[in-house]
Amino acid sequence: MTPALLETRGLTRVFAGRRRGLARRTPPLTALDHVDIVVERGRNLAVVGESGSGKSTLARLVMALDRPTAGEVYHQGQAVSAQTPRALKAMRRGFQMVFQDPFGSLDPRQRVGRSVADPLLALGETRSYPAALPQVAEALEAVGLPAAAAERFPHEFSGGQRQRIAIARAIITRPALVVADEPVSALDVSIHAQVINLLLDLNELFGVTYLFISHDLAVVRHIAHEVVVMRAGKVVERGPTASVFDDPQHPYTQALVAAIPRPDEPAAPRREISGET
Amino acid sequence: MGAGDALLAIENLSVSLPGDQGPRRVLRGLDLEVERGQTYGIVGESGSGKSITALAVMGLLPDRARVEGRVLFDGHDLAQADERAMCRIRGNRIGMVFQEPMTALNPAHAIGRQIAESVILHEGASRKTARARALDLLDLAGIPDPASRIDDYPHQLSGGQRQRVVIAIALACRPDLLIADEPTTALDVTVQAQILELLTDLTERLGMSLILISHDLGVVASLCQRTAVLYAGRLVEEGPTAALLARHAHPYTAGLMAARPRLTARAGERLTAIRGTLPDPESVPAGCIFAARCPYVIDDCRAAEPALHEAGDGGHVARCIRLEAVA
Repeated sequence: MTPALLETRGLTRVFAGRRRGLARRTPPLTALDHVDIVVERGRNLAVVGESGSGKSTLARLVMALDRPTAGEVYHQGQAVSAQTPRALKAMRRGFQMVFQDPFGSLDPRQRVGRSVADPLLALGETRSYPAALPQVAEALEAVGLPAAAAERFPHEFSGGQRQRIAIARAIITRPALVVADEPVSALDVSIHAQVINLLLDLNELFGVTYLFISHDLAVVRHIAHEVVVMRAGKVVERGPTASVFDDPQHPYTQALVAAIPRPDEPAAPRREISGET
Repeated sequence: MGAGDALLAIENLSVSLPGDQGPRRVLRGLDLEVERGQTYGIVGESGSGKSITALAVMGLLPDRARVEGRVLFDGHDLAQADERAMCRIRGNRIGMVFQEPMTALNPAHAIGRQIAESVILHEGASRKTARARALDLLDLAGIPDPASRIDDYPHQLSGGQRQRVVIAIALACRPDLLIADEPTTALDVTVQAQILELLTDLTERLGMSLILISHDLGVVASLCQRTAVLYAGRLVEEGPTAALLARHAHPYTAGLMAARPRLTARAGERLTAIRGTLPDPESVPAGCIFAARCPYVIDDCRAAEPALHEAGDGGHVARCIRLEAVA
């Protein structure tokens, strides 16, 4: 059996408490508590949850930007913790990330082409920026921007275009897995659909599989085949997207589904959920 | 729009801010009326002018802004009011809730003190009375067991509870009008639903008018009796929410509705995207502002900017010459 594209086993991350005065500390925070997820090639997985659910901590661990307290992340069967720094660097070719904020994720002083080429240069496969230019042009065109955009600076682009640039940067190494953390939530509503469609196009064109992190259930339905619902660091429900949303079993999932404003329906009494995470 | 029982009447309001290449006209010729006890939604994306409208009503626009037109609140023109007259109305008769509760609250003071200050300022109450009233307001805003929370500091509360405190402060003066600008955008979805419910409940119980400003047509539609849709500083559609949802008369509104992700979608299902990008506020094109993105565009659309055309009952209007084609 070929190993899954991505798998986590018992993934746990505990943040130490902060100092409060001389002797006191805030209690440690378990941001992620024994989380197991599996992403098969071609089957996009959405991780759904609200703030404090642990979904962004999960993304950071999957991207090897942080180390787990316990448990393991496997990319195509390879345990991340077992890699030498050099091997990990080579592995990074296979997984890239798109962040929520297209304003914060691009260096404002760098020409767009340079930012898009960054992952290639970091891998050390391409020695210089000029040598990377053909691939930069290809990546920009794949996300619907002219190759000439490489010569311009981020501030010359709108939010939606900047997110396209960030996506071009993520796909330039032809990764098998892209972790997208709320990739449309900072964008204007009329631009949402364009970017979601782009992600789906890249799905087909390059065979990219997404680990899609979002609080927006409707967006998730368009992207993900499978869904994991998280609350307070734990997985509370998982399954095929359609069945989880059409017939949610856990009260928290039920509340999430009920909380979506629906403009095409008259205002209905909403299910209350007590407390906040 | 009829004279009606308007609490707030905005007449031909235009706002420009200085830009690199001359003035940026961020709001152009806005007309709208909010009746007593009415819930009114203003929908728009960035650059639509929705927040500028709120700031103009509150008299909070920067000094360098140039304002034309009238903002009549209960018959008084706020656009011409001096700071002193404005201070009497702002806070006393109009309350405001912003997007980010943490920036609206002072992190160094207990929440009870912040609410009480507002009561003292507007009603000249004694400290003791003001504290009692702060307790009532926290209760009204749905904070459970307010007596145990009144001396908490903002950082001890969750995002939703902080927004409830901000709402309590806005209610301190028993306003006739509450303006909420993206009050739930920074909050989680389940908390968002609770805050929206609180706002609806308060409008009914206190008989206030509410202006809810949002980028999310869904949020506005679930709460507001009437809705205005703004695009690039221009009112493009206005009417009773039910009428507007039954028939999205303007191609932009229709596009926004069609572009919404669907809860019944299958993985891989594409959305109906609105093509193009928002216009640059420094160079607004002649003719219809939506022409460059509109699937129904004809040459006449670019010749002159359309007036508001009647689109249905209840004063439902849309700024489009191709209404028949859209519907």
